Amino acid sequence: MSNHGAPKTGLWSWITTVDHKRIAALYGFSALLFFVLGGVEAIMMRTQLIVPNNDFITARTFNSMVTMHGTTMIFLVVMPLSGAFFNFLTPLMIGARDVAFPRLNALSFWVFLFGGLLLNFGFVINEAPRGGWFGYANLTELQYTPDLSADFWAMGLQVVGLASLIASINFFVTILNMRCKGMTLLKMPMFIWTTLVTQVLLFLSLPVITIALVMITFDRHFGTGFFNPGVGGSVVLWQHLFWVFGHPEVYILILPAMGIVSEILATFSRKPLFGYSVMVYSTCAIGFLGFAVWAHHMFTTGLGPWATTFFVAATMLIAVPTGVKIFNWISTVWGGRIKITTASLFGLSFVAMFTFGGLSGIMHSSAPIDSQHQDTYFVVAHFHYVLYGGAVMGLFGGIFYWFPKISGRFLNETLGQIQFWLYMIGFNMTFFPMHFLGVQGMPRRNYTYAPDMGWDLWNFICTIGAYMTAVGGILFAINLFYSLKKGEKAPADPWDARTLEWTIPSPPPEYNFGIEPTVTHLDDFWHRKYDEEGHKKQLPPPAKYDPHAIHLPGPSYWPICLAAGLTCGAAGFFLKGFGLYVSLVGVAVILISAYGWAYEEA
Amino acid sequence: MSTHLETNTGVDNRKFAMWTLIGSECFLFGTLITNYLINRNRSVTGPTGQEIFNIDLTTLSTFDLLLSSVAMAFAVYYCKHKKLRPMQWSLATVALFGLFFLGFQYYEFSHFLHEGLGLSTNVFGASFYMLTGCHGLHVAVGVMIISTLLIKSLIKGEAWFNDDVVEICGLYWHFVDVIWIIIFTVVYLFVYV
Amino acid sequence: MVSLVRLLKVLSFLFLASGLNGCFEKLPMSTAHVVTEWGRQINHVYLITTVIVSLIFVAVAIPFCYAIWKFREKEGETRMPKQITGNHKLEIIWTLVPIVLLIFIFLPTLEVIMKRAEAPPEDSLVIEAIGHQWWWEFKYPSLGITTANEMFVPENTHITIKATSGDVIHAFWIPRWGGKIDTLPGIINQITYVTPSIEDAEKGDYYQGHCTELCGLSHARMRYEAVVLTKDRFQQWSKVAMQPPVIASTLEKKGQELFMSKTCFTCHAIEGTQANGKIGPNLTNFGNRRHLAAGTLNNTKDGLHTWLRDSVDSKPDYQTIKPGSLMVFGPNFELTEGDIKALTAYLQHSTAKTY
Repeated sequence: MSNHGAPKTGLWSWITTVDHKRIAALYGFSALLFFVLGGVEAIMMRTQLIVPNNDFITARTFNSMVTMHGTTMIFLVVMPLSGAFFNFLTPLMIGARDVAFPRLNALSFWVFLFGGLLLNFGFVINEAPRGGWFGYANLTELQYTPDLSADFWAMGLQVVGLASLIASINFFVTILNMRCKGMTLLKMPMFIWTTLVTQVLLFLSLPVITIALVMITFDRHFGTGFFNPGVGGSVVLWQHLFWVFGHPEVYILILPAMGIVSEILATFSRKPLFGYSVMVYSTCAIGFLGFAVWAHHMFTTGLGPWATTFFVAATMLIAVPTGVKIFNWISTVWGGRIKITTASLFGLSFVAMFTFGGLSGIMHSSAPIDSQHQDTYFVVAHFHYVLYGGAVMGLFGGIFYWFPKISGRFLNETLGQIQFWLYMIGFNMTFFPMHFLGVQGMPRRNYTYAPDMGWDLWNFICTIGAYMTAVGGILFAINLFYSLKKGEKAPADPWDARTLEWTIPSPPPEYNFGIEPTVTHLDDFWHRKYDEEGHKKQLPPPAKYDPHAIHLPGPSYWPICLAAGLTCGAAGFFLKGFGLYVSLVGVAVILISAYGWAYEEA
Repeated sequence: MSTHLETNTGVDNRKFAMWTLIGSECFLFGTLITNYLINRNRSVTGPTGQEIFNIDLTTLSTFDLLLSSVAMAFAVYYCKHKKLRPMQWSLATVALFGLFFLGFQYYEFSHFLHEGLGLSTNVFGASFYMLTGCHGLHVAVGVMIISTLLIKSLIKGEAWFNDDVVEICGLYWHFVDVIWIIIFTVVYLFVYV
Repeated sequence: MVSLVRLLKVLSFLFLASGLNGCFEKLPMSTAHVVTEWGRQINHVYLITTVIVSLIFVAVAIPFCYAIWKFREKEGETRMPKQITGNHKLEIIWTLVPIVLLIFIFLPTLEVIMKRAEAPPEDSLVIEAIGHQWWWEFKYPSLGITTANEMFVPENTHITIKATSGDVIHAFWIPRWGGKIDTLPGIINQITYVTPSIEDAEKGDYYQGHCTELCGLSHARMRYEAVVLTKDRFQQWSKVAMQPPVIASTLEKKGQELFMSKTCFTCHAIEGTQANGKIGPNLTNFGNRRHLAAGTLNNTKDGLHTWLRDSVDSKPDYQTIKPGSLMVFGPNFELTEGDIKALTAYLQHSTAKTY
C-alpha cells in the first residue's frame, strides 16, 4: 500500500479514511457545525424571552428550539467533540498506531453524522421534535404528538446512540489492549482514564435508552401501550429508563472535559497532576455512583420516602469524589508556574465554573429543596454551569491546547483570549441570573411569561449575555478558519508538555510513531526532558526508521455505505406509504456492506 | 490489521470487543427482562401468560438451543484441532438447530396470535414479544454469521481454520443461549410461581 | 447540634440580607417568601445548604484565585516548580471534610422527607387537582364542587391534594406554598398542606400556581391560583359555587342559546343546563373567576372578547393566546361581535359575589 507519501487530499480520501486523526477532524468539524446550530437555537429562545409576552417565535417553534437545543448540544456537540478528542488522542497518548478497529471507527463517525442529520431532518418538513430532550412519555405518544416529530427524535437518537456504542467498544478495547510497552494502567495519562471510564458508562447505559426508544417507537407505530396508562402502561417507566441512561450520560459529557483539563492544568503549571492515583479512583467512583443516582431527576414523581432518601444519599455521595477532583486540580496549580494562554484560561475557568455548578447541584440533591427547584430556571442555571461552563469550556481549552498538534498551526492567541473573556462574561451574565429567576419561581421550557411576575429584568440580562457569547462564538469561527490557513506554525512540543503525543511532529504522520514508544514513567515525555530536580536533560537524537515498512490499514468505503444503509433503514421505519421499501433498501445496503466489509482485505 | 498483534491483555482485540459487546448486551436484556417483570401483571385485558404458555413446546425449543450450544463447543474444539469435516458438521448443526429454534418461535408466535395475544393486545404481550423477539433477532443474526463461516470454510477448504473467529462466534452463541435460559426461567417458569 | 443550626441560621440570614435581599422582592411566585409550614421546612434546609455550599465555594475560590495570581508566570521567569505528585494526608482530609459537611445537609433533609411522609389527618379537606392540556380542574368530592383554574381553600385548614392528570404529565406547584408534585396520568399523587392564615380577609389571598412539566404547546399558559378565604367565606363560596345561572336579561338569554347552539356545551358544563361536557373547564359560576384561559387573561369583557375572537379566528396550534388550545370553532361556528357580546353577558353574569 502506497499510503506513506504526501498526505492524500480530496473528498474521496476523507470519505474513505480510516485514519483516527482524520476521523477526529471529521468528528470535530461536524460537532462544531452542530454547535452553530444549537447556538442559533439558544439565541432564538433567548430572543423570544427578552421581554414578556414576546411573539418573536411561536410556541411550536419555541418548543422545537428547547428540544433540539438540548438534544443537539448533548448528543451532537459535546459527545462528538469529546469523541474527536478520544479519536485523536487515544492512540497518540497510549503510543499506538491506530485504534483497535479503524474501519469500525469510520463507521461510528458516519453513523453519528447521518443520525444527527436524521435528528434534524424534522426542521426541513416543519415537524421538528418538540417533546423535550428527555422526550417524556406520554407527551411523545401518537395521541399527543400525531406528526412525525417524535419519530425523528426517537429514530435519530437511536442511530446516534448506535454510533456511540460502536465507538465505545472500540476505544475500550483500544485502551486496554493497545498500550505501548511499559504503559501500565496507572501510567496512562489522566485523559485516557476518563476516556476509559466514559466508554464503560457508554456501553453499559446506551442499551437502556435503546430499549426505551424502541418501546416508544412501538407505542407510536404498533399500538403497544407501554406508556399508555389506559391499557396498563406507566408513564413513570419511561422516566426510569430514560434517566438510568440519562444520568450516566451526564458523566459521559463531563468526564472527558475533566480529563482534558487535568492535562491542560498539569502542562501549563509545569507540575504533574496532583494525586494522580486518587484522581483515577475518583473517576472510577464517579462512574460507578453515576449508575445509582438516576431517580434524583424524579423526586417530584412521588417515589416514596425511602426511595427518595436512598437517592438523596447516593447523590450527595457523588459530590465527594467530585470534590476530591476539584481540590486536586487546585493543588496542581498551587506552587506551579502557570503560563496564561487561552487554553489554560479555559482550563482554569472550567474548574471555577464546574465547582459552582457542582455546588448548586448539592443544593437540589436534597429532595425537599429539589421540589422547589425542579423544572425552574435554577436547574437550568445549574446544569449550564456544569455542562457549558464545565464541559464546553473544557473542550474549548482542549481545542486551543491540541490545535497545534492537530493542524500544525497555532490558533490565534489574541482572538482566543477575546473569545475567552466574551464567553466567560457572557456565560455568567446569562446563567447566573437564572438562579434568581429560579428562586423567583420561573418555570423552564416556557415559550413566554406574563409581565406581572417580576421576571423581566433578569431575563433581559440573560439574553444580553447570550448575545455576548454568540459574538465569542463568531470570533472562534473566524479564528479557526484564519489559523488553519495562516496561523503561526507550531513545533512538535509547543507547550513543553508531558504526554506522548508531543514527542512526534505536528501534525503527526499518518503512522503516528515511527518506532513504537516504550515508557517507564507516568508523564514519560516530561521525564525524558527533565531530571528529578527539574533540570533540562539532553534528548537523544531521534532514531532512524523506514516509514515504508509500517503497515497501515487501507481506506474503505464500506463504513459510509453501512452507515447510509442503517440510517435508511431507520428513516424508512416511520415514513408513511413507501417507508417499508426505504427500510428494505436500507437492510439490503446493510447486508451488502457488511459482507463487502468482511471480505475486504484490511 | 494483522491477526497476530500483541495485546496488553493477551486477548485478541476482536475477542475482547465481543466480551465488551456481551457486557453491553447484558444491560440490553436486563432492561428487557425488567420491563417484562414490571409489565407482566399490569395488563387490563387478557390473555395472560398462564392462559397461553405451552411449557412442553418451549422446553423442547430450550433443549434444542442447548444442543446447539453443545455443537458450537464441538465446532470450536475441532477448529482448534484443525479437523475440517467435523468442524463443518458441527457448524452446520449449530445453524440448523438455530433455525429449528426460530421455527419453534415462529410457531409459538403465530399460535399466540391465534389465541388472541397480539403485539398491541396488552402490555404483557407487548413486553413478551419485545423480549423474546429481541432474543430471536439475536439467534437469527447468529445463524447468519455461522452460515457465513460455514460457507467460507466450505469454499476455502483446508486453508481456512480461523480459530479466533470461530471462538468469537462461539462466545456470542453461548451468550445468546445463556440469555435464553434466563428468559425461559423468568418468562415461562415464573408463571407457575 | 441545635446551636450549630442556630449559628447557621444567623449566618444565612446575614448572607441573604447582605447580598441577595435586593434581588428577592416578594414576587407572586417567589420561593423565598413561603407561607406554609411545608414551605418553611424546605427553606430551613435550603438555608443550611446555601450556607454550607457558600462556605465551600469561598474555601475553594480563595485559594484557587490566590494560586492563579501568585503562581502565574511572570515576564522572563524560568523557575522550575517543585514536582509534587500528591499528598495522601491532604487528600484524605478533603475526602472526609465534604462527607462531614454533607451529613449536615443530609440529616435535616431526611427529617423533612420523613415528616412529609406522615399520613394526613382524617378531617383533611380533599381536593382533586387534575391537570389538562392546558388548564386545571379542581374537584371537591366532599362538597360536590367542580371548578377550574382557581382553587378555593379555607385558611388554617389541613388540605390533601390528590393530583392526577387527564392527559399528559403536568406538575402541581404553588411556589409560595412549597414543593411541587407531578400530576401523572393513571397515578394519583398526594400532597398535603396546612393552608396559610389570611392576610386580606376582604378579597382573599391569591397565590400563583403554575404547571412545571413540559406538557405541549401552551405549557407556559397553564397557570392557576390558589385562593385562601376565611372559613366563613369559604362556606359561602362552597354554597354558591355550583349554583345554576340566573338569566336576568334578553341578552343573557341569547347568550345561553348561543352557548348551546354553537356547540360550547359539548366540551363545557354549566350546572342546571343541558351543558355537561367534560373536555373543557366547568363554567358554572364563571362570572366569579378573576382570570380566564388558565390565568392568561383577566376575566373582563375585554378579556373574554380577546379570548373568543382569538379562538374563532385562529387555526388550531397557531392561536396567539393559547396555541394548541382545543377552544376552536370550525367554519360553521363563526361568532359575530353581537354573539360575543351575548355570550359575554351570559357567562360573566355574576350569580352572587357573596363569598
